[in-house]
Amino acid sequence: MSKKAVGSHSPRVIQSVFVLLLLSLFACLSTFLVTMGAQIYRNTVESAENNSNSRVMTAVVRSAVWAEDGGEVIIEHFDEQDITALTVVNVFNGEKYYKRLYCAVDPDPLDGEPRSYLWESYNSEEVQFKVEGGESLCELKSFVPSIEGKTLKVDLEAPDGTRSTIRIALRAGGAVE
Amino acid sequence: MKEGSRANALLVELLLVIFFFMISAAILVQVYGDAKLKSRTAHATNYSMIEAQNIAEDLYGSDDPDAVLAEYGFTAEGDAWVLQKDGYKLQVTLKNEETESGTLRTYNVSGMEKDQVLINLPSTRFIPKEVSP
Repeated sequence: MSKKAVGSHSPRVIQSVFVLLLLSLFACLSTFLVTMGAQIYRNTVESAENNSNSRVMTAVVRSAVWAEDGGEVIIEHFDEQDITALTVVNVFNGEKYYKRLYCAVDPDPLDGEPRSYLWESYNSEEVQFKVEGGESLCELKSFVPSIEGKTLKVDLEAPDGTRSTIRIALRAGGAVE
Repeated sequence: MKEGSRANALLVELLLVIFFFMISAAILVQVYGDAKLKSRTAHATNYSMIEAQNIAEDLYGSDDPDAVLAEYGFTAEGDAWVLQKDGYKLQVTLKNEETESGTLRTYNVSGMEKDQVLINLPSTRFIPKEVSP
Protein backbone atom coordinates (compact mmCIF):
# COMPACT_ATOMS: atom_id res chain seq x y z
CA MET A 1 0.00 0.00 0.00
CA SER A 2 2.66 2.43 1.03
CA LYS A 3 4.86 1.34 -1.95
CA LYS A 4 2.10 2.32 -4.40
CA ALA A 5 1.70 5.74 -2.81
CA VAL A 6 5.42 6.50 -3.06
CA GLY A 7 5.53 5.35 -6.72
CA SER A 8 2.65 7.68 -7.77
CA HIS A 9 4.19 10.66 -5.96
CA SER A 10 7.78 10.41 -7.25
CA PRO A 11 7.22 11.89 -10.82
CA ARG A 12 5.55 14.93 -9.20
CA VAL A 13 8.44 15.32 -6.83
CA ILE A 14 10.92 15.15 -9.73
CA GLN A 15 8.84 17.69 -11.67
CA SER A 16 8.75 20.07 -8.70
CA VAL A 17 12.49 19.71 -8.18
CA PHE A 18 13.04 20.39 -11.88
CA VAL A 19 10.86 23.51 -11.70
CA LEU A 20 12.74 24.66 -8.63
CA LEU A 21 16.06 24.05 -10.37
CA LEU A 22 14.91 26.08 -13.36
CA LEU A 23 13.79 28.86 -11.03
CA SER A 24 17.15 28.90 -9.26
CA LEU A 25 18.96 28.92 -12.63
CA PHE A 26 16.80 31.87 -13.68
CA ALA A 27 17.55 33.68 -10.41
CA CYS A 28 21.30 33.00 -10.71
CA LEU A 29 21.48 34.14 -14.33
CA SER A 30 19.48 37.31 -13.70
CA THR A 31 21.67 38.16 -10.68
CA PHE A 32 24.79 37.55 -12.77
CA LEU A 33 23.47 39.74 -15.59
CA VAL A 34 22.52 42.57 -13.24
CA THR A 35 25.90 42.37 -11.44
CA MET A 36 27.78 42.35 -14.73
CA GLY A 37 25.76 45.32 -15.99
CA ALA A 38 26.40 47.24 -12.78
CA GLN A 39 30.13 46.49 -12.98
CA ILE A 40 30.33 47.64 -16.61
CA TYR A 41 28.31 50.75 -15.80
CA ARG A 42 30.64 51.56 -12.90
CA ASN A 43 33.73 51.06 -15.06
CA THR A 44 32.29 53.22 -17.83
CA VAL A 45 31.39 56.02 -15.42
CA GLU A 46 34.83 55.83 -13.74
CA SER A 47 36.58 55.92 -17.08
CA ALA A 48 34.43 58.87 -18.23
CA GLU A 49 35.24 60.69 -14.98
CA ASN A 50 38.98 60.06 -15.42
CA ASN A 51 38.83 61.29 -18.99
CA SER A 52 36.87 64.36 -18.03
CA ASN A 53 39.20 65.16 -15.11
CA SER A 54 42.36 64.84 -17.17
CA ARG A 55 40.87 66.87 -20.03
CA VAL A 56 39.67 69.65 -17.74
CA MET A 57 42.98 69.82 -15.82
CA THR A 58 45.15 69.95 -18.91
CA ALA A 59 42.85 72.32 -20.80
CA VAL A 60 42.69 74.77 -17.86
CA VAL A 61 46.49 74.87 -17.45
CA ARG A 62 47.21 75.06 -21.18
CA SER A 63 44.73 77.86 -21.83
CA ALA A 64 45.88 79.79 -18.74
CA VAL A 65 49.52 79.67 -19.92
CA TRP A 66 48.72 80.36 -23.58
CA ALA A 67 46.58 83.35 -22.65
CA GLU A 68 49.59 85.11 -21.06
CA ASP A 69 52.45 83.48 -22.93
CA GLY A 70 53.83 86.84 -24.04
CA GLY A 71 55.47 87.30 -20.65
CA GLU A 72 58.30 85.62 -18.79
CA VAL A 73 57.48 82.27 -17.30
CA ILE A 74 58.96 81.50 -13.89
CA ILE A 75 58.47 78.97 -11.11
CA GLU A 76 57.99 80.58 -7.70
CA HIS A 77 57.97 78.92 -4.30
CA PHE A 78 56.24 80.52 -1.35
CA ASP A 79 57.77 78.99 1.78
CA GLU A 80 55.23 80.49 4.14
CA GLN A 81 52.29 78.78 2.45
CA ASP A 82 54.42 75.91 1.01
CA ILE A 83 53.09 76.58 -2.46
CA THR A 84 54.85 76.23 -5.81
CA ALA A 85 53.35 78.52 -8.41
CA LEU A 86 53.72 78.74 -12.14
CA THR A 87 53.99 82.45 -12.79
CA VAL A 88 53.76 84.46 -15.98
CA VAL A 89 55.11 88.00 -15.63
CA ASN A 90 53.89 90.72 -17.97
CA VAL A 91 54.83 94.40 -17.99
CA PHE A 92 52.17 97.01 -18.73
CA ASN A 93 52.98 100.75 -18.51
CA GLY A 94 56.18 99.99 -16.67
CA GLU A 95 54.42 97.97 -13.97
CA LYS A 96 54.82 94.22 -13.53
CA TYR A 97 51.75 91.99 -13.35
CA TYR A 98 51.88 88.40 -12.11
CA LYS A 99 49.57 85.68 -13.24
CA ARG A 100 50.01 82.69 -10.94
CA LEU A 101 48.74 79.14 -11.21
CA TYR A 102 49.06 77.07 -8.04
CA CYS A 103 47.48 74.25 -6.09
CA ALA A 104 46.18 74.95 -2.59
CA VAL A 105 43.51 73.89 -0.14
CA ASP A 106 40.46 76.13 -0.13
CA PRO A 107 40.73 78.05 3.17
CA ASP A 108 37.00 78.76 3.27
CA PRO A 109 35.07 75.88 1.64
CA LEU A 110 31.33 76.31 1.20
CA ASP A 111 30.48 72.85 2.58
CA GLY A 112 33.14 72.99 5.32
CA GLU A 113 35.14 70.11 3.81
CA PRO A 114 38.69 71.16 2.90
CA ARG A 115 39.51 70.39 -0.73
CA SER A 116 42.55 71.05 -2.84
CA TYR A 117 42.00 73.24 -5.92
CA LEU A 118 43.94 74.70 -8.82
CA TRP A 119 43.94 78.47 -8.34
CA GLU A 120 44.65 81.36 -10.62
CA SER A 121 45.56 84.81 -9.37
CA TYR A 122 46.42 88.00 -11.19
CA ASN A 123 48.12 90.78 -9.25
CA SER A 124 50.37 93.73 -9.76
CA GLU A 125 53.78 93.59 -8.07
CA GLU A 126 52.55 95.88 -5.30
CA VAL A 127 50.01 93.34 -4.08
CA GLN A 128 51.37 90.58 -1.87
CA PHE A 129 50.54 87.01 -2.86
CA LYS A 130 47.72 85.38 -0.92
CA VAL A 131 46.10 82.01 -1.60
CA GLU A 132 42.59 83.40 -1.23
CA GLY A 133 43.47 86.30 -3.55
CA GLY A 134 42.93 84.01 -6.54
CA GLU A 135 40.03 82.17 -8.12
CA SER A 136 39.67 78.41 -7.74
CA LEU A 137 39.45 76.84 -11.21
CA CYS A 138 39.01 73.13 -10.66
CA GLU A 139 39.60 70.48 -8.02
CA LEU A 140 43.19 69.23 -8.14
CA LYS A 141 45.35 67.15 -5.81
CA SER A 142 48.79 68.19 -6.95
CA PHE A 143 50.38 70.61 -9.38
CA VAL A 144 54.14 70.42 -9.98
CA PRO A 145 55.50 72.82 -12.61
CA SER A 146 59.08 72.69 -13.90
CA ILE A 147 60.98 74.25 -16.78
CA GLU A 148 63.20 72.17 -19.02
CA GLY A 149 65.00 74.42 -21.46
CA LYS A 150 62.31 76.09 -23.57
CA THR A 151 59.62 73.68 -22.47
CA LEU A 152 57.31 74.03 -19.53
CA LYS A 153 56.37 70.73 -17.91
CA VAL A 154 53.51 70.40 -15.45
CA ASP A 155 52.65 67.21 -13.56
CA LEU A 156 49.04 67.15 -12.44
CA GLU A 157 47.05 64.81 -10.25
CA ALA A 158 43.26 64.80 -10.14
CA PRO A 159 41.37 64.14 -6.88
CA ASP A 160 40.67 60.57 -8.01
CA GLY A 161 44.40 59.94 -8.52
CA THR A 162 44.45 60.37 -12.32
CA ARG A 163 47.90 61.65 -13.26
CA SER A 164 48.64 63.72 -16.35
CA THR A 165 51.69 65.50 -17.63
CA ILE A 166 51.50 68.44 -19.96
CA ARG A 167 54.33 69.96 -21.91
CA ILE A 168 54.13 73.42 -23.43
CA ALA A 169 56.71 75.00 -25.71
CA LEU A 170 57.18 78.55 -24.45
CA ARG A 171 56.74 80.79 -27.45
CA ALA A 172 56.99 84.55 -27.06
CA GLY A 173 58.36 85.33 -23.62
CA GLY A 174 60.18 82.14 -22.85
CA ALA A 175 61.34 80.68 -19.62
CA VAL A 176 63.45 82.51 -17.10
CA GLU A 177 65.95 80.16 -15.49
CA MET B 1 -7.47 21.49 -12.68
CA LYS B 2 -5.41 18.41 -11.89
CA GLU B 3 -2.16 18.90 -9.99
CA GLY B 4 -0.07 17.30 -12.80
CA SER B 5 -1.38 19.59 -15.53
CA ARG B 6 -0.91 22.60 -13.25
CA ALA B 7 2.74 21.70 -12.80
CA ASN B 8 3.09 21.27 -16.56
CA ALA B 9 1.58 24.70 -17.15
CA LEU B 10 4.02 26.18 -14.65
CA LEU B 11 6.89 24.43 -16.38
CA VAL B 12 5.87 25.77 -19.80
CA GLU B 13 5.43 29.24 -18.31
CA LEU B 14 8.87 29.05 -16.74
CA LEU B 15 10.47 27.86 -19.96
CA LEU B 16 8.86 30.75 -21.82
CA VAL B 17 10.13 33.21 -19.23
CA ILE B 18 13.63 31.74 -19.47
CA PHE B 19 13.48 31.91 -23.26
CA PHE B 20 12.60 35.62 -23.21
CA PHE B 21 15.15 36.17 -20.49
CA MET B 22 17.81 34.59 -22.70
CA ILE B 23 16.88 36.87 -25.61
CA SER B 24 17.02 39.96 -23.34
CA ALA B 25 20.30 38.75 -21.84
CA ALA B 26 21.84 38.35 -25.30
CA ILE B 27 20.76 41.88 -26.26
CA LEU B 28 22.00 43.27 -22.92
CA VAL B 29 25.40 41.58 -23.23
CA GLN B 30 25.73 43.09 -26.69
CA VAL B 31 24.82 46.54 -25.31
CA TYR B 32 27.33 46.12 -22.46
CA GLY B 33 29.99 45.12 -24.95
CA ASP B 34 29.28 48.21 -27.08
CA ALA B 35 29.38 50.45 -23.99
CA LYS B 36 32.74 49.02 -22.95
CA LEU B 37 34.12 49.45 -26.46
CA LYS B 38 32.91 53.06 -26.63
CA SER B 39 34.37 53.76 -23.20
CA ARG B 40 37.73 52.33 -24.33
CA THR B 41 37.65 54.43 -27.50
CA ALA B 42 36.83 57.57 -25.48
CA HIS B 43 39.73 56.79 -23.14
CA ALA B 44 42.10 56.26 -26.08
CA THR B 45 40.90 59.46 -27.79
CA ASN B 46 41.36 61.49 -24.61
CA TYR B 47 44.84 60.24 -23.76
CA SER B 48 46.04 60.25 -27.36
CA MET B 49 44.91 63.90 -27.58
CA ILE B 50 46.83 64.88 -24.43
CA GLU B 51 49.90 62.97 -25.62
CA ALA B 52 49.62 64.39 -29.16
CA GLN B 53 49.47 67.94 -27.76
CA ASN B 54 52.61 67.27 -25.69
CA ILE B 55 54.45 65.82 -28.68
CA ALA B 56 53.36 68.68 -30.95
CA GLU B 57 54.58 71.20 -28.36
CA ASP B 58 57.93 69.41 -28.00
CA LEU B 59 58.33 69.21 -31.78
CA TYR B 60 57.48 72.89 -32.07
CA GLY B 61 60.07 73.85 -29.49
CA SER B 62 62.86 71.66 -30.85
CA ASP B 63 65.27 72.04 -33.74
CA ASP B 64 65.81 68.31 -34.01
CA PRO B 65 62.41 66.61 -34.29
CA ASP B 66 63.89 63.15 -34.91
CA ALA B 67 65.71 63.29 -31.57
CA VAL B 68 62.51 64.36 -29.78
CA LEU B 69 60.56 61.47 -31.29
CA ALA B 70 63.33 58.97 -30.49
CA GLU B 71 63.33 60.22 -26.90
CA TYR B 72 59.58 59.53 -26.65
CA GLY B 73 60.27 55.99 -27.87
CA PHE B 74 58.94 56.35 -31.43
CA THR B 75 60.34 54.03 -34.09
CA ALA B 76 60.64 54.92 -37.76
CA GLU B 77 58.29 52.94 -40.02
CA GLY B 78 58.58 54.10 -43.62
CA ASP B 79 57.80 57.82 -43.76
CA ALA B 80 56.18 57.85 -40.34
CA TRP B 81 57.22 57.54 -36.72
CA VAL B 82 55.11 55.16 -34.67
CA LEU B 83 54.66 54.61 -30.94
CA GLN B 84 52.41 51.94 -29.46
CA LYS B 85 50.78 53.03 -26.20
CA ASP B 86 48.28 51.33 -23.89
CA GLY B 87 45.19 50.88 -26.09
CA TYR B 88 46.15 53.29 -28.86
CA LYS B 89 48.92 54.09 -31.31
CA LEU B 90 50.54 57.42 -32.06
CA GLN B 91 51.85 58.20 -35.50
CA VAL B 92 53.86 61.26 -36.48
CA THR B 93 54.66 62.39 -40.00
CA LEU B 94 57.12 65.19 -40.69
CA LYS B 95 57.41 67.20 -43.87
CA ASN B 96 60.00 69.85 -44.66
CA GLU B 97 59.29 72.31 -47.43
CA GLU B 98 62.24 74.47 -48.46
CA THR B 99 61.40 78.01 -49.53
CA GLU B 100 63.58 80.98 -50.45
CA SER B 101 63.27 82.54 -47.02
CA GLY B 102 63.47 79.39 -44.92
CA THR B 103 61.99 75.99 -44.15
CA LEU B 104 58.32 75.27 -43.56
CA ARG B 105 58.15 72.29 -41.24
CA THR B 106 54.80 70.51 -40.99
CA TYR B 107 54.07 67.88 -38.35
CA ASN B 108 51.02 65.71 -38.14
CA VAL B 109 50.44 63.78 -34.93
CA SER B 110 47.68 61.15 -35.17
CA GLY B 111 46.12 59.00 -32.49
CA MET B 112 44.88 55.66 -33.77
CA GLU B 113 43.00 52.71 -32.35
CA LYS B 114 43.65 49.66 -34.53
CA ASP B 115 43.17 51.16 -38.00
CA GLN B 116 40.70 53.86 -36.97
CA VAL B 117 42.06 57.39 -36.77
CA LEU B 118 40.87 58.96 -33.50
CA ILE B 119 42.51 62.37 -33.72
CA ASN B 120 44.70 64.35 -36.06
CA LEU B 121 46.77 67.24 -34.77
CA PRO B 122 48.62 69.10 -37.50
CA SER B 123 51.06 71.89 -36.66
CA THR B 124 53.43 74.01 -38.68
CA ARG B 125 56.59 75.88 -37.85
CA PHE B 126 58.50 78.22 -40.12
CA ILE B 127 62.26 78.30 -39.58
CA PRO B 128 63.70 81.35 -41.32
CA LYS B 129 67.08 81.19 -43.04
CA GLU B 130 69.87 83.07 -41.36
CA VAL B 131 70.52 86.23 -43.28
CA SER B 132 74.04 87.59 -43.23
CA PRO B 133 74.08 91.33 -42.50
